[in-house]
Amino acid sequence: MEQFFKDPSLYTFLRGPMLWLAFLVFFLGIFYRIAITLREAKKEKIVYPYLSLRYTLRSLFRWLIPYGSISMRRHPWFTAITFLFHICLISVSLFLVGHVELWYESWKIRWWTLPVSLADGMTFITIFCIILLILRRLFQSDIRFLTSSSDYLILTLVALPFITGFLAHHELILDYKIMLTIHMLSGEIMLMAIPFTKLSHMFLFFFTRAHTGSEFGAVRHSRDF
Amino acid sequence: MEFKRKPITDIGIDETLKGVDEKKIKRAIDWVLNREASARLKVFVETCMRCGMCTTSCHHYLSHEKDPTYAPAGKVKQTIWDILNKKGKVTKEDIKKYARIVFSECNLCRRCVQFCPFGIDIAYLLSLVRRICCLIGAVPQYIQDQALSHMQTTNMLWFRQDEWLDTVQWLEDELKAEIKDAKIPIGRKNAEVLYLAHGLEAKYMTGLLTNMAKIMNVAKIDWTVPDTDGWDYTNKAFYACDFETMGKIVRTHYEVAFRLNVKKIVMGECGHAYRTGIYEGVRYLGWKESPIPYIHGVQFFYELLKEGRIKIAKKIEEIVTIQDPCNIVRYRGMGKMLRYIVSKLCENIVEMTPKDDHNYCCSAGGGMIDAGPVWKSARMEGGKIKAEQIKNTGAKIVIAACHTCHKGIEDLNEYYKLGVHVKFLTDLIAELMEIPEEMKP
Amino acid sequence: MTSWDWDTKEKVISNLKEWKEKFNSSEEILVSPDFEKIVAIVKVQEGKTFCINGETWNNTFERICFPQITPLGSVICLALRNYEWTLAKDDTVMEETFDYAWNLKTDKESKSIAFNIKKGDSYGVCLDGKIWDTLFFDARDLILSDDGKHAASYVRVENPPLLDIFSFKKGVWTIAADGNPWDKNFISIYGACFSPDNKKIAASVRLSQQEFTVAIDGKTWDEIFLNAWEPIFLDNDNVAVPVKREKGWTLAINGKVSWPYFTQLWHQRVSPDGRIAAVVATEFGKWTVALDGNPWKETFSHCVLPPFFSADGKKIGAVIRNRNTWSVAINGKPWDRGFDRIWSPQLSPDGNYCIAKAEKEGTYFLVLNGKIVKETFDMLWEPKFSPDGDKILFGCIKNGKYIRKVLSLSEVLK
Ligand code: HEM
Ligand code: SF4
Ligand code: SF4
Repeated sequence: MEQFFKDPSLYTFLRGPMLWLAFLVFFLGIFYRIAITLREAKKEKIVYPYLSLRYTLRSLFRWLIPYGSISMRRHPWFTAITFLFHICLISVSLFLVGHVELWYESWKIRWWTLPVSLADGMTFITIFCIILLILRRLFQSDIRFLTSSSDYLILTLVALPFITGFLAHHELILDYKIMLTIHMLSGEIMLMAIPFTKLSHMFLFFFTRAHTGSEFGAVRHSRDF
Repeated sequence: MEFKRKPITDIGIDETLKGVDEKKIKRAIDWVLNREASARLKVFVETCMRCGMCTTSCHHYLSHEKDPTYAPAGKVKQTIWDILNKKGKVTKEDIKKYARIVFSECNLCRRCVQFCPFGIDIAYLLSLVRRICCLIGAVPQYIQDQALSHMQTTNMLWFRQDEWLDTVQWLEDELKAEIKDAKIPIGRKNAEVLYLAHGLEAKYMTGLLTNMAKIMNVAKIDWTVPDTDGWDYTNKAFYACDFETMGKIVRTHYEVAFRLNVKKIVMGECGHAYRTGIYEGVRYLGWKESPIPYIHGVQFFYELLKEGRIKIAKKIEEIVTIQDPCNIVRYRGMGKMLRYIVSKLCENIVEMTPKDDHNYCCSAGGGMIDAGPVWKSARMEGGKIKAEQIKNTGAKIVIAACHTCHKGIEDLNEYYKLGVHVKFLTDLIAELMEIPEEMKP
Repeated sequence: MTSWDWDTKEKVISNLKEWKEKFNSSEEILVSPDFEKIVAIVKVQEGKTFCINGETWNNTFERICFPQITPLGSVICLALRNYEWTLAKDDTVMEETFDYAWNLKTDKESKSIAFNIKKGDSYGVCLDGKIWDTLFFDARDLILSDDGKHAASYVRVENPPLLDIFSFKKGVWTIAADGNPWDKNFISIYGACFSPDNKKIAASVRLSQQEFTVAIDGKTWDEIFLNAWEPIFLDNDNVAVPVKREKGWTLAINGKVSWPYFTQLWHQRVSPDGRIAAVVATEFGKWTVALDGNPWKETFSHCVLPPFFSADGKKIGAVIRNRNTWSVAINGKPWDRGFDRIWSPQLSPDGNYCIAKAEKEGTYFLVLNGKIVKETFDMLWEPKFSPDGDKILFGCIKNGKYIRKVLSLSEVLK
């Protein structure tokens, strides 16, 4: 923040106020979306009375471990890609040295970080997986049928911070600082997009699984995986 | 990929739409999507990542040479997403297409839900479209006819009250030839069990009702059937998402049970009626679960055999396979009970793959068979994978503990020349059970 | 009731073991309201007949249906003889015969007897031996006025071919009172009832998929609702009916919404002191009774049956089912014991006591204010309080004998 007031520039803006704003939108957005969803779920009447912790956990367990469900076992390649993609994506965003440093600067908190070379590799895997996901969308008929331009847009939105981060780190194509500026901008846009686009699946996932897991397990005595 | 289908005319949809204006369509859509539906619709639409994990779960997709317009999420895209994209500005032609998809290309079997990483309830989303069609009035003629009958008579086939009573009485007389002093008590207060029948069992399939009565008599069950409306457990209104009628039917069943002061309701082998009797109808009325036990035929037979109230005298030798009706297996986990019963009745069982709660729907369920003869081809085509599944078992007998599965597989048998016989448990048990000497006339 | 025998403590009325030896089979046992008679349908050589306290009728039939004992103690039924149906009352048989007869009913004072009939392909009602002048394509259910002078039935006045959904959607049903149909048809009509003065009929009607209202003598209310259950007359002019609006279920009186909204609402009843009680679900899966719109605090998980009242209306009770056992709640307080089954509880005239017949694992017993009365029975019929409230009368089967018993309240309380 102070840096921006001392030296106002796009770079310090993105690193200061904009980052604040992005996190604010991200957290408040998530909070708002969850609150609305919970309220609307009450209107549905039949959601809350049947919720069961045991079957919610069973459902989450089956769908959060690789190959935990029949569906994943039927789609071995895709499951590998999507798990790699998500694991790398989340680990790099949370445990990259550069990211953790930022937190330390602002809040004086610090946590475990990824070794730089591993983080670099994971970034590459993320990008690679995104390319595979795009190819899949282009060439697999049932998915192509479902896909609209917004799906590519979302994938691009997620890909950008990784591509620019990767390029900046290796100082490729553009000047480091310019690339870093684009990286921060795209990252912030992605962060702000999460609560309001289908990236909201990141938290809604737990709600849909709780509902369906409880319905299948506690009420219907069968399996949702 | 385009939506390509042979033209089919169903006057329930096409004729009705002639008299409908776009305002009415918009009103129905607004009502269903904004007032009746809420969190589930929004979250399910938003979280769908268009990942295609559900695609190969659906028997319609598998039976249609991988045509993505038959894939679960594909069907949601062509209906719900389309309506949302058009912001309710939907034409009659659109409704016609939607109706075709939701009434003749989805059985509401919920297999796809088991394959979606988010557990998105695709059947629920498609049933919202059925509800919209219902409010517009664009419902397949045969379903509409049955729903109209249900509205006043509570039964599916415009049966008069005396026709029911008379039928039960002559069935009782016939049964006396097999069981000494056999009884089908009508409207007997304080019996333990209230037995409800399938509408067709009172007219075209009376043998099934007689066989159930035979089992009741041999097992010495303290039972009765209703002496009023409410004897027919079917609930075809549910297929049209005509919840007003569906709720009234289910309420009537329980009110009859309360009036006769029975301990539980037992029904025969039917999937959708069980589903409405313990889930859809009950929930519409505000009950969290059935107010008194509502027992499906499979559970009833399971208990009779477990408790030794009936004994099986001989077993079937031919190869037998088991159809798992979605509404009692995927919806109620009765796969084990079903297998216990069949193992008591048959020597050679060859299972289908996949089976139990992952089994494919017979392609007749969810109202597809009730949509009538014009939609039969859709049902036959959608059931190709089921036919192959049966063929691969090499079975000569398919046991289907559900009226819809039963008729659906019989039709597949004819269409795909499978050379099997489809059997109800009721008929098999009545045929194979031991009849004590003192009960023989 | 005052003329009944309230003094004899125990009367053995019949030895049922002897019946078993005498008849091939006996079924469908009934007892008279004063418990003086026990009646069974028995098989004799010529067919079926009634056995009343050991005496059989002279008439025999191929079938006996809807057997009943009227409030005044007559035995009536619809019976089949020579493949034709007719009415039999106290061993006399009505001359007129029908292709079918069902839904036998009598009024409270058993002055009249009515039932649904089929003649040829036409349907209607026979009231006190008189068949309606107009018959219909179908007639379902029978509604008899309190004075027994009028009968109504839901009738079908059009006969479109099967699958002609467009004709059926226009409405083919209406109600006929004493054979005269209303001039409007509906796609569904139900819950009909007579006004206390027996002059009017109210019923709920369905106009289209989501349009329900009430019709009184064929005239519908202006207000339309999303759904509706059965109406009742509060008095000769006012009608109350549970209706559904977007917010939920509520009670509409003469078309005006008069109660708060609930998840469910039905079985509204008027108390002797003019209040309205109804069964409601305050939330999904939470059932209770609401009085003038205010629900009891305590709710029950499975269901609540229609409320009943003490003579002064101060006590309101209902049979409830909570966590899968049956019990009774009075003024919001449930008994602390649950049973496998419970039968129509009776409040004493002063409202202080409530007695019911209950069953647990096949044995029957009396329950007074939630306490089990020790003696058990093989069979038991619903107990009644004496008009002064000091005694309890009931019929029971013990060791194969049908016994009429009178207990004083103090004996029961012991
Ligand atoms: C714990 C949190 C998360 C869970 C449980 C989760 C789960 C899933 C699942 C089940 C899918 C569908 C299968 C697939 O297409 O791969 C998916 C897709 C996707 N997720 Fe996540 N996700 C999470 C977090 C995130 C985050 C934080 C992002 C990025 C901001 C993200 C981005 C994506 C994208 C872009 C896709 C779509 C891939 C495509 O278009 O094919 N996810 N996620
Ligand atoms: S038929 Fe079954 S699997 Fe296919 S879309 Fe419908 S509910 Fe899903
Ligand atoms: S599996 Fe679920 S998330 Fe994926 S496309 Fe199908 S419905 Fe959408």
